[in-house]
Order: sequence, then structure tokens, then C-alpha cells
Amino acid sequence: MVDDSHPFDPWLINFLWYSAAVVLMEIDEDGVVTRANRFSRSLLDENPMGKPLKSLIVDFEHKLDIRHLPADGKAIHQLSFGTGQKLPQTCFMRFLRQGNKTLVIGEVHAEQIEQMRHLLVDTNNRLSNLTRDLHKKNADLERLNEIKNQFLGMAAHDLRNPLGAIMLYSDYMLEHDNDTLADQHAEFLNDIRSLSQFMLELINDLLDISAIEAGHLKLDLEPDDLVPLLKNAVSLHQPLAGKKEMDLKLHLPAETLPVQIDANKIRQVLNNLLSNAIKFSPHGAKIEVQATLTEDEIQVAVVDQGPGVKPEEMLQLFKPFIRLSAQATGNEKSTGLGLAICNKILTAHKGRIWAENNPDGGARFFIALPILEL
Amino acid sequence: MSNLLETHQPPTRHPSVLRSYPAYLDALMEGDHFTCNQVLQSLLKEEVPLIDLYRGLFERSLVHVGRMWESNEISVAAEHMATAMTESLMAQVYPVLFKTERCGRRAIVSCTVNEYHQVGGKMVADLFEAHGWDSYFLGANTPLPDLLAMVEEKTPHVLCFSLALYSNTPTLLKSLQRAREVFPDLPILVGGQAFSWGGTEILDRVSNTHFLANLNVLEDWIQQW
Repeated sequence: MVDDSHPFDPWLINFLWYSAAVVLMEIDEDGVVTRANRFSRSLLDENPMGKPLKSLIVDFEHKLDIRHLPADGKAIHQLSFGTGQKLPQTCFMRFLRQGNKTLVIGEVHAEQIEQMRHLLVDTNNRLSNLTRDLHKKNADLERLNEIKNQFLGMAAHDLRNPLGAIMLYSDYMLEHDNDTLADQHAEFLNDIRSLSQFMLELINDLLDISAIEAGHLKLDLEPDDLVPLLKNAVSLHQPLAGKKEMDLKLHLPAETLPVQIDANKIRQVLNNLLSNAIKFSPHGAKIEVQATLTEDEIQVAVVDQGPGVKPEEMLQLFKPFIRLSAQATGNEKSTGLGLAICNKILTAHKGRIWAENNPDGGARFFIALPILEL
Repeated sequence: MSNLLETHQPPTRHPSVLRSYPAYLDALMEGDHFTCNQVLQSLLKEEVPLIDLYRGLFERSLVHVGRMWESNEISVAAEHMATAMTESLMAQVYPVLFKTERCGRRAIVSCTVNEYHQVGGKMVADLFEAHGWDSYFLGANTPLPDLLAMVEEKTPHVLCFSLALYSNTPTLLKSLQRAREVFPDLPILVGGQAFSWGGTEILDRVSNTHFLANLNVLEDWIQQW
């Protein structure tokens, strides 16, 4: 409401237009800005003349109707102005209609600016503190992982020697004293032998995985041919497959499959996949090893007729110490580390390993290695 | 109060840091994070000691920025930008910093209520970490009850307060007195830019409270522990 008893002092008018830290604008009947004081222009970081006032205000819900806001100079509206590159600035606005023009008067509360500043600084501080904590926790985890690997390595080394002795003595007795041993004692010795063998495999796997996780996996990469490796792996597993009357076959797309590999490590992978296929397939099953060539990869699939992999176990397949629900069909034991080791070896070769279920039963375990360009 | 106040000492004499500082400062004032990081990475590659990085690069540049703001040569926005960049650059040191073997000791570092300048406190926390301590940095504007609860939980060997603005001294004193009441035997360390021109005598009112003038003095204290 304008107090007519005090006409506007020209000095005051000048002050309001050029110096005062208040928003002062004039809009016409269409809501378009016709005048704006210096503070408004500085706040908005542009000259608002000729622009609809609505376009200068941040209004995500598009509910603002300037022309119908109360313009008696009393009602206060909290509106946020877009300020170019800076954050929107909230002002407490009043509208005062004067004929066919409306005065738009706004205050920026210093307290609010200070609160926003504190909020921003606080948020920035929290973010940087979280970063610090994250790095700290990462360092703690790395230390724990290192301790774990050292422990695994030490434990495995200390266990391997006694096991070697156990296997040696049981082998000796079975070989040299077989005629004098009671049947039951021979059976016991056989059990001792096979359990010791399993423990040795477990220890070797533990040593492998701790070496790999400690970053000690060193590959001896050489140009090689996958064909003889595949033939050799299949041939090695024929006796095992034969015991369960399984049909183990190899299918090759070419006479040579050139790769750059650490042959011992890839041999380890192939042995693991083949022994798994034999372990989990039923008596008399068909197992196929199929090599295929793509544009840049050699893929080898070991196809079995086992129970397949449950969908919920697919993601866990290549993680260490995971025991899956599938049961070995000949009571063979599993360390739970083989596929995890295979995964690490393939990754180190810049290759891949994955599994898929066959539509008509069983699973396919794939490995892929980059082709060596000759 | 035991006074370990050092007389004036240049922040660092490490030649690589001294050589790199002008380029770093220029880049910091320009908001050029990339160049600042390049300078830092080359010093990290040279395995420059942490104390020299923190004092000769981060602290020295922020003190310069602070003085420019005080004399109205730069805006508060520019000061905040430099501070935010510095905190981000300090994070580049973390992969090296947190690898030190732990010594089993713990420190809690905090700013008082209404104290939003936390970089100094963070440097103190980081220096403890570099010496194998586990440090818990509570950040800016820490409410006193939360601070005391953390001390109760973590049972630190020392409690540290960082103060950047002298106007927050009354709040600091209240925090010190309350902490002393609840934890009568806990050593307390105090430091920060607030005491650049003196004013440490208020700390005489609280027992077993030590003023440490800068990070070098803190490092000596840690090594003597």
C-alpha cells in the first residue's frame, strides 16, 4: 500500500534503482519486464528487460501464474530466480499493482544466504570426508587380504610336506605289501591314498589362489598351438571317462589354432573343465570338447550331460570357495576353487570363461582366447 | 598447558616442492585442477615425504589464499574453490597414505561447532595415519555430544582440535573444558590458523592441553610418543 503523505524522494528513487540490494522490477499487463534495477540485473546475471518475469523464475511444477498473484504489496511470495551459472536465488517478493504496471519488489535474506553457504560447505566437507573414509577402508581391506593370502600360503606349504610322506608310505605299502595286507587294511590304505590325494589337490589350489590374489601370477607367454593341448587333455582324461563308460570326443575346426599362452596354465584350465564334466555327468554320458573360430577368438566349449547350473548359481560359479548344489556322480570330491582359478588364468590371458545351460540338459563351459595373428 | 610453540620456520626446504610451488599456486588460483594434479603426481612419483607435500604445497597455498581473501583480493567463492580443489588433491595421496603399517594407537581429530574450515584438521588426521595411527576425522562443525560419544567409543590415545577462526575460541574453550571433565586423563592437542597471531593463553585454563604450532611440531610430538 502506497503512503501518499510522503512523496518519493528522488534520492531514494535513485538509491533503489542503482544501489540498493533489493530486487526492483516493473512488469506490464502481460507480465513482461519493462524496468529492472541494477541489483536485479546483477542477481540474474543478465538484462531482464523485455523478458516475461515467469521465464526468469525457477518453476519446476509450472504452476506459477504471475498475473494472478495478489498485488496489494502485502502478500509475500517466495520465488527462486535463475541466476545464470550460479545457484538459483530465493527472494521474498511482493507485487504492487499501479495502474497497468506492477512493481515487483524482492528481498534476499542475508541469513538465508549464510545458511545456504553453510549447507554447501557442509555438503562439500561431507563428500570429501566420505572419500577419505572410503580410501581408508580400501587400505584396511587390502591389508586384510594380504594377511589372508600370507596365511593361506604358509598353511598350505606346511601341510604339503606331511601329506607327501603319507602318500609315499601308503603307496609303498600298497605296492610292496599287497600280498600280506588284509583286505580291509588294503581298503583303508586306498582310502588314505585317495583322501591324501584330494587334500594335496586342495592345498595346491589354495596355494594357486593365494598366489594369484597376491598378484604373484606370472604367465610365461609363448606363441603356441591349442590343437595339441586339446588333444593331450582329452587323451589324458579318457581313462577317467572310461571308468564311467562315458564317450569323450574332441571336435576341431582347423589343424592349427594359434594362440599366445602359458601352456601349463591353459593345460590346468582344460584339465579342470574336463574333470568337472566327467565328475558331474551321469554314467554313460556323452562329453564333447568343441573348438570354434570366430573373427578374433578361439572358443573351446566343454559340453556335458550333467545336471546343468541353477540360474541362481550362475553368478557364483567362478568365485572361490563356492559349493554349488550339483553333486558328483561318482562321489568325487571338489575343492570349490577350480573354476575360480580358471577364471583368474583366463583373465590374465585377456581371455574369458563362462557357462551356459543346454536347452536339452547339461551345461557348456566355454573358454575364449585371442587368436595369435601370425 | 605445555607449550610446544615453534618459532618461525619455513614450511619446507624440500627442493622439488620449492621448485614446484609457484606453478601449483598459479594453477590453484586459476581453478586448474589438472595442472595442480600433475604437479602433485610428479612429486608423489619422486616419493617426496608427506609432511613436505602437506606443508610446502597444500598448507602454504591455502594460507596464501586465506590472506588474499582477508585482504579482499579474492571472493569467498574463489577461496572455497581453492579449498575444495585442495581437498580433492589430498585424496590423491590417500592410496599411499593409508598403506603404512598400523602401530595400534588412535587419534580423534575434530573441528568445533561452527568451524567449517576443516582442511587443517584433515591434514592432522592424515599425518597421524602416515605414522601408522588410526585416526578418526570427525569433520567440520562437529556437535560436542557427538564428539564425546566418539571418544567414548574409540578410546583414542589423543584428542585433537583444529581451529581456523579466532572468533570460535569461546566455543573451543567450552569443548575443551567439557572434554576434560568427561575424560580427565586424555591428552588434548590444539592447533590451527586461529592462533597465527597468538592467543594460546586461553588453553592454560585446561590441563594436559598442548598447543602445536604446525604439522612439523605435530610430527615431532607423534615421534616422541
